[in-house]
Amino acid sequence: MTQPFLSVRNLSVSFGPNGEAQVVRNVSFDLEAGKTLCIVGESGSGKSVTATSLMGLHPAASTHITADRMELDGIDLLSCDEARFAQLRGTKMAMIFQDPMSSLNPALTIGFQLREAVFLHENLSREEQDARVLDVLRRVRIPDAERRMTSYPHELSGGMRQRVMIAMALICRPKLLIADEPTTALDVTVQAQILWLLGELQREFGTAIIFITHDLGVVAEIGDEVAVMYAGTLVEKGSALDIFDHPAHGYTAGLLSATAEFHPGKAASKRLVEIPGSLPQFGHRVQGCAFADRCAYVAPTCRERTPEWREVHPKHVASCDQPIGPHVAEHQEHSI
Amino acid sequence: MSATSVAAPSLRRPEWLNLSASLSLSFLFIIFVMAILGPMFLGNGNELNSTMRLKPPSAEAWFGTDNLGRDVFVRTVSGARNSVVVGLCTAVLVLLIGGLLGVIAGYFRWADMVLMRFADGLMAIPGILLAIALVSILGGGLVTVIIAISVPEIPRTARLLRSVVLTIRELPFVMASVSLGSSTPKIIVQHILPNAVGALMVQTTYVCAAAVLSEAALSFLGVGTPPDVPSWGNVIASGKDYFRLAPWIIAFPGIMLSILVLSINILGDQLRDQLDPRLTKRRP
Repeated sequence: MTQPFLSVRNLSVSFGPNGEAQVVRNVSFDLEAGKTLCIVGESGSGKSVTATSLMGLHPAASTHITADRMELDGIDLLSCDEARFAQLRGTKMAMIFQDPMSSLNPALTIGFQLREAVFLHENLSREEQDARVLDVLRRVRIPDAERRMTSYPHELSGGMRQRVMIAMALICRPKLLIADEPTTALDVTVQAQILWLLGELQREFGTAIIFITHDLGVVAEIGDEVAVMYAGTLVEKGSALDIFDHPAHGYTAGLLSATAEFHPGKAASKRLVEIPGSLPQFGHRVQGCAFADRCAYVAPTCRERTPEWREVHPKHVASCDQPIGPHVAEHQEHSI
Repeated sequence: MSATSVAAPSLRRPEWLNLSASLSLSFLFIIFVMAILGPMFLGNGNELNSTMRLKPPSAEAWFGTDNLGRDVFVRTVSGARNSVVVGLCTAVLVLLIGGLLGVIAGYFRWADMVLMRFADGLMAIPGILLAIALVSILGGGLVTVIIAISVPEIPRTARLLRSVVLTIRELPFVMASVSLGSSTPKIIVQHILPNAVGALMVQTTYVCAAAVLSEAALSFLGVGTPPDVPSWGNVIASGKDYFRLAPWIIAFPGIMLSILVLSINILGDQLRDQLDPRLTKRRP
């Protein structure tokens, strides 16, 4: 079996001088080149921390990162020091941040910032740099690219700025693109354009994308694989279709039923179902399943022992002792 | 915005050039000309004239004469050089050293404690006392005065810049730049400094104004420039014993000093308003 492009085994991240706050616990996943992995979960479930750990963006003094394996394209990320990470960032992996409004330096022009991204990794002449910048700006569908190069960030709209961010991340053709809620700050039509653009660029360059979101609509749009995170751990992993059709973990099922459905010609058929309660506190490790208190399918045994990983379908695993089978989901629908 | 104000933008005065800004710029220009040309054409005004002692302003001596018969006009005009040189040199020195220390303290957490405790120590000593102490250690002279005035100002500027850098370094674009592979020096030069330069420029104008005042105070106390080089401070000092008899000796350099300091401060305020977008006044 060949080594997957990105492979993470039992990644744990904790903050604080003695590692008091463990925010990510035993997260494992693989990602093939050219595929999209969506990490979903509510705020504070450790999605962003997982991603920024891959990029090595946490201050070493106050962060403890442990893992059995963390490899990107054959490079062991665990053994990388800051200088090695600086080489990898931009060329091997790049990141798009949530807020396009503040992720560009307001004091410098778009062209300057993009040229800078090229200059950091490639030894090109000024003309070649300009050509590359123009090319990537056109690729992300920025109209009037020549003129935009001399614009400052405040002269662009939010969607435009997010395109510039994507251009900046893609300018050195990274193999892995981490998108941390890149469409959260944008409205739906712009969001659709950005998603379409990401998909197109992915097909062209064969980039692997880790897409962090809490929007299941976005997941359905672009996800190949889905990993659901809850309270710092993965609870369910599988292909997007599988997870949408047969959620096995109570949390996934809760997330899915909390999305609004719209059927043309029909009035809203059901009230939105929310997941009761909130995330458990860090450092307050509960016995048994962390989701037990909020789970609609909870059994008495759930509170007693830590759930094991079960394969509910081929390549679809859930960390749950009472996985919801198809019949349970049907039963649930009847009761609503 | 009304249609008429859009019609001829080229004829309109630029927004930053309002009345107070243009007045202070004109005063600064006049004082600069005085500082450059005064000593060249009028000399230092050290000629003693016993027949002309304590004369009120007249056609011969525009600002009157002092107790030794020296022309107060010549001494005031030539004294501008001292204030301008000390003001500018101190401002540049403080800008460079204070700015550098501020960036280091703001960006590198390990340096922060050391530098800021040192700054606390310096700021606990009153500035003018520290300056007098430094002059008495280093001996009089222009360079000493500049150093003596700069030392108490540096911690203030460093502290201001530290706080500005602390806010900028946490902004997402810095993280975004790190995630593209930028090195630390690159981030400081290209992302931190351009965004801190506004605050630094405004602070520099205030330092300049404070330095002009401090220089006058040091000269007034007799620890500044030597007595044969006229400075507004030592002209005022020479007139303080004759204040009731000949108020003009103190009045003219005093007025010049106030105008210079006021002009620099007004310019600093204007600069601050222009550089801070949140303070931009909406035009009706």
